[in-house]
Amino acid sequence: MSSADEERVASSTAASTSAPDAAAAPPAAAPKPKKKKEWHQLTMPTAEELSAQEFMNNCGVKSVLSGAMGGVAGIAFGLFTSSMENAHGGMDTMPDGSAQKPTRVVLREMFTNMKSKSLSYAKGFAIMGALYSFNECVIEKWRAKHDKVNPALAGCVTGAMMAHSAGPQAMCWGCASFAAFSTAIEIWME
Amino acid sequence: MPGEQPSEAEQNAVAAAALTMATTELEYRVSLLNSMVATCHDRCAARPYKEGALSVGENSCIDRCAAKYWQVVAIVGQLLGAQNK
Repeated sequence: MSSADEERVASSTAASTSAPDAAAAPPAAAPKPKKKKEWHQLTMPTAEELSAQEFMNNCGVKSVLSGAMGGVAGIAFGLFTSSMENAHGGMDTMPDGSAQKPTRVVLREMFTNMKSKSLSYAKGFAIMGALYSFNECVIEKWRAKHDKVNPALAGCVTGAMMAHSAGPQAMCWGCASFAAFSTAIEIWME
Repeated sequence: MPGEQPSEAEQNAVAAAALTMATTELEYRVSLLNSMVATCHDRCAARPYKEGALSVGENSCIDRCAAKYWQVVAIVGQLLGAQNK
């Protein structure tokens, strides 16, 4: 027998006899031929798991969580955008350089611009995320189907809702664009 | 005593009958659960299988499917019981 076979036989006999000191040496010495896939036993869900699933299935909870995530994303986006804007000392700096502002004033202006931009983006993204998540949850619950039509319908409703103050034509355009966007995201997430 | 042995045989017979009925009832309930799970999974689980957990739509579909199945089983049981009488 080759040395690898001898090691495999030794490790299997050690495992079957369950001797702790004999089992310690062969697995450390023998290189495993193939890493076996870990299979977990299927168990009934516990009461905590069930209540957690019920909690996550709620449309209100989903919309609040998505709104929070959208707010965080909006803050990050606002920071990034304002830092790009303020890269050369603010948006409205005159190139002549006659009235040079002191550094502290410039920094304060940049900071306030960053804060206002971040908050406005955060509000917009939060509202969009909460609305879209709520619409998708309600539509999917009502249709009782899980397919690619749900993101399109939810995107259409959300786009129309977000453009409601701009007239019916803007609502149609918002519906179509947001539906296409959410369908593209859904296809990309696969 | 003379009165104990027939009552013991009666008790054994009654116990055996109860055990047979309980076995039949349990088999019926297990087959009912299995067929309900199979039917609702065929109709409600979205293919192809992408996630390990049920989505919102699948959950509501299974709720409705199980409620309808249970109601139909009750109706069929009533009809069979009325037919037997």
